Amino acid sequence: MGLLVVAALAGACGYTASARYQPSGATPSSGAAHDPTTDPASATAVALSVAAGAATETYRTDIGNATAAFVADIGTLQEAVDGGDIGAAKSDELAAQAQYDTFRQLEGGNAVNASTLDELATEVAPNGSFAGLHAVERDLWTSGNARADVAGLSVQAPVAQYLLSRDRLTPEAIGTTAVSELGWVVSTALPGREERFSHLDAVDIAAAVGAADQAFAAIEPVGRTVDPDLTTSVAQVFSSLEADVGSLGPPTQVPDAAIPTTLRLSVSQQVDATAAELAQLAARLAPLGTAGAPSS
Amino acid sequence: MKRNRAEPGAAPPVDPPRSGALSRRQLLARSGLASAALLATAGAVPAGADASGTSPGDLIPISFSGPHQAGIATPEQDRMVFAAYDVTAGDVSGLAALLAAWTDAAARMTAGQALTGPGGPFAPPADTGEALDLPPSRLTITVGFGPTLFDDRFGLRPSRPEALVDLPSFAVDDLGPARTGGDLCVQACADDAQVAFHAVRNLTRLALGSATVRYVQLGFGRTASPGAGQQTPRNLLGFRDGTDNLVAGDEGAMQRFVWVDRDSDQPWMVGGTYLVARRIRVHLEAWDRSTLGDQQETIGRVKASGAPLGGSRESDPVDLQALGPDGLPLIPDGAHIRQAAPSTNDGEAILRRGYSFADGVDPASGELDAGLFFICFQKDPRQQFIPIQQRLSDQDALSEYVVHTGSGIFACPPGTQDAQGLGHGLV
Repeated sequence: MGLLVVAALAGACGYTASARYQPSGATPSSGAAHDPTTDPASATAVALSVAAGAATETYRTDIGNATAAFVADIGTLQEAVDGGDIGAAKSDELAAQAQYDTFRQLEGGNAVNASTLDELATEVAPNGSFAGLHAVERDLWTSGNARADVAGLSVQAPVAQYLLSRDRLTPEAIGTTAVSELGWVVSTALPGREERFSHLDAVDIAAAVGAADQAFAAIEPVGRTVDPDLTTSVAQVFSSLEADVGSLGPPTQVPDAAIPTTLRLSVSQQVDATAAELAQLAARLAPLGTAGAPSS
Repeated sequence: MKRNRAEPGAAPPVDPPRSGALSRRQLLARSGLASAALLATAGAVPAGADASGTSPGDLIPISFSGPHQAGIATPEQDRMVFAAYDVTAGDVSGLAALLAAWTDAAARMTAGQALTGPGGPFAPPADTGEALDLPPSRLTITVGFGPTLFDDRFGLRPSRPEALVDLPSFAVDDLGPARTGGDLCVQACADDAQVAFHAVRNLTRLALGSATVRYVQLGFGRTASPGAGQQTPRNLLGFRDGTDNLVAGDEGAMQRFVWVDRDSDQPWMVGGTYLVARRIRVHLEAWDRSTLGDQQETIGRVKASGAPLGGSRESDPVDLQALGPDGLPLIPDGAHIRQAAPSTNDGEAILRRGYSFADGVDPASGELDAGLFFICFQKDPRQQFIPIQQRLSDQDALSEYVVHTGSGIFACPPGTQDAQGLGHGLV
């Protein structure tokens, strides 16, 4: 009967484990002889299953909100461009960029859509055309005509909203997505490789760190059940990281050249430390299911 | 261009001792104990040589002379020093003189000999000296000519091969100008880092007034196995690197994929090849926190054994069609070995001969500045490296972890033989 309840709850919460990816079988770091995450008869297992499902739904809601905001920001951007208000258009473009950063890593599975939304000029295929947010960025910051590029965004943004609405990520997948987001901050945003025209990578730094923190918040409850000490440690490093990023100043007003080298270094090292801890937590959540699959 | 030297195959000439005492390198050369046959018979380190830490192979020099330059098909050594130069000579005669000096010096150094000069206490030593007590260590010196050499300075524009194109930009690029390009390059490889460095250092000295150093890159830990019988080494990702590399001993493959043949638009390049060098920085911190499963799916191999996913041994053929019980490919679509496979690239292949590097810490991020100094040789980069790299940049899962911070393409002329020097037929 207990097993039936577990299964029913798991299904009701929309929590599904992908058939392809099996639990990694990672040995819990605590070394406990009895692992409640794998004992289906345990009351803890039931609670974990519920918590895992809640994490999935929380994150799905967060992403839904982000994609909806992204679509809205693109609409506002279109209006500003059509009205010739470059100042407003720049603000709207930066806002849209920040929203995109929230679900950037999830677009990895939607390569075509991603290329229409956030492709860098250096990533355009030999026979392709430069489009998306960075094309609009180029237009707005180097006095080009943004109308055509924004029109393309207006078509593709709802596609992303639809594609991502189908995702149901397990807690482990949410964690690894956040880890990837942090890695992107160090590899791309902090070195100033993203905003090549506006040079306002602080927008991406803040948005991406915030997105990773938000993802952690979604899995924090289940993390506290599986490994409270590690989860507390992750929360602490995130707090330090957010403080570091906050010291950059208002992101839309901090050009790349104005970020002190020492602060850039400090943020980078803090990001790496946070990502390392978060990766460990994600591994601890693997027995609850890995990766995820779009719901049919 | 001709130069004075002994006939190929003869024992290399020996410089006279400065103070009456013979260095170990001189002793070895005079006694003929560097001959492979004698070493194979004796099976022991020759008298007078330092037996500690010296393998017999290190005592055998690799001839600088031959139809092809050494350091391409040569079984890969353990250390590399790569240097790019900007030529400052005023005219083509200055360039020719530089190449002649380099030819002579390279022949001596690869033979385990010190460079010679006026000598005496009132002149700077002709040889910097740090390799005097060291065996040849399988030193090879390979020289290449960059596209910029063929501008209007030396009248070489008509001699620029069509295949020596400017590399296009790739999505993974973040190229630093200081680590990109160059009129000339030198690849010095040896089993002893000091011997390799000595070679580049002395060539650089000889170039004073004719060329300036653009950049130098040190490498360690060979990441390819172009020699049959060599165990596949591991790169800094922890994976075996070079499993499906071209085998340099496969002459048919070398003729097909590496050596420029008589179809070349430039006769002086026949017997040569094209070198592409890429400084590939790896975000090791991000890699190290990815799961073993992710790492293996990114590469397409089992980390411990090197077996392709779905296989059991490193030597198992890579089956890109194999499916798992779920009906999905065992080797994921974005896996590195799938995207780099010749079958995915119209049958094209390249000879890889790279090295790992570790250059301290990136001051901007505090992360390790380390990765792969990727070197490859091919007959035509337009058909080989460029389309392969384009595919990798766009579709390789490994691209998430790497950024290319330096780049260069060079035409490596054929080897020196019959008393001809580097660049014969060109200058």
